[in-house]
Amino acid sequence: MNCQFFMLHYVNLLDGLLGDAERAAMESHMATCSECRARIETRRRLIDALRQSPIPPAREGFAEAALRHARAVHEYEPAYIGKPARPRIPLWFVSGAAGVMAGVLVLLGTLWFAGPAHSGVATVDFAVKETRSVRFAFNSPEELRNVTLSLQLPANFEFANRPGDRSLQWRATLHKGGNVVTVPIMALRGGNGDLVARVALDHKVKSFRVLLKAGARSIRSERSSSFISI
Amino acid sequence: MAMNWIPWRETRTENVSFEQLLAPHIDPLYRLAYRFTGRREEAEDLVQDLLIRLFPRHAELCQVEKLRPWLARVLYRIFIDRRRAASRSPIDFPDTDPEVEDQIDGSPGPEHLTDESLTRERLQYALEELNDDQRVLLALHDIEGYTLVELAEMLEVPIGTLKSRLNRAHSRLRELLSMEPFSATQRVSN
Repeated sequence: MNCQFFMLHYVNLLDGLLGDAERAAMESHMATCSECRARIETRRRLIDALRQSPIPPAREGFAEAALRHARAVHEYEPAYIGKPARPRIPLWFVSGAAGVMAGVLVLLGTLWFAGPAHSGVATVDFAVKETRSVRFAFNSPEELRNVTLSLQLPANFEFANRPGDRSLQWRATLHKGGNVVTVPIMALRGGNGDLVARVALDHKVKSFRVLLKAGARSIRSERSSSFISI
Repeated sequence: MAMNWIPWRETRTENVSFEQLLAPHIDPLYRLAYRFTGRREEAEDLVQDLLIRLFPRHAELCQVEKLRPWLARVLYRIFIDRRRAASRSPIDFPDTDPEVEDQIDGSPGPEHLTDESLTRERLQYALEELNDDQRVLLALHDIEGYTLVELAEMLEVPIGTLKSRLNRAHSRLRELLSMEPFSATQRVSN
């Protein structure tokens, strides 16, 4: 047993991974080598300091809110692009169902890139600091690959599961028929602004605007959702 | 929302809700996430991301025998994926022969830790200066108490690589804490 061997294997000693004979040899070396003994002591003091270094507590109520939010995101449909695995409301029902659900249902039209611009603006109301799961439904006339989807929030909103982020962009394949995206959105401050949803394929872009209003509406549970069909 | 705390060693069935299953682990996960990130907001976001990803896997979670290390592993994976996405480059050190790594390690010999060098501020600064791999390994091995054998399985990294990485992390930490070094040459000659 020499110092170099000791330094190579003292982590195993600290982890309790050595057999009896090896441990005895290491401890015997420590008893006679002040430098190796000091190295172990240094390591132990450092580990103690690391374990005792303070951690700021999470926000009050974080655990409950985080668990509740995890359920809320998946409450209706998971956030994915594709046919809903278990649709709660068939898309054909959307157009006539405004006001039936707790959220806002607006049918803006089918995703025809060559079609006319939509008229009218969907509106989703928030209370300040409220999080709502907003579902966007894209009704596509055919399968569309390599579509770029983007969402841009106004300044007083953010994506609830990505604090500080106001824009999302990702590539996806839209299936023929209904496609649903669910995003949790939180109103940070009062005020109104447009959420801009863009669907881009090759050089064609279709944009949709949804008016987000954050004001005096009473706070509902985080399980509230709005369903917007695009 | 009232929580019914269920010790994780008891037999779990799918009758246990997702919230009941995960509630006892939230605070330890947050603390581990803070050790990884060094920032409260990022740690909360990391835990939130983990919960969102795990919610659809409730049935699978009920079958996991040791949930704590399983959750730590998933948290680690999410953290690494985020950092890679942010940096657009892998952060793992290239594998090296652990024996060679230790021989070429130029770390000083025995050092003396003083209370001054281990102040909270200096330690926090030193931890932030480590790279992600080193900081994660210190958190999991030194603070959480996982052995290198457990971490090799958890992180899917060879034990030798982890040992080298841990030695480098400690060497770097000692440098950052401004230890009083003894040169390797002096140590060997003495």
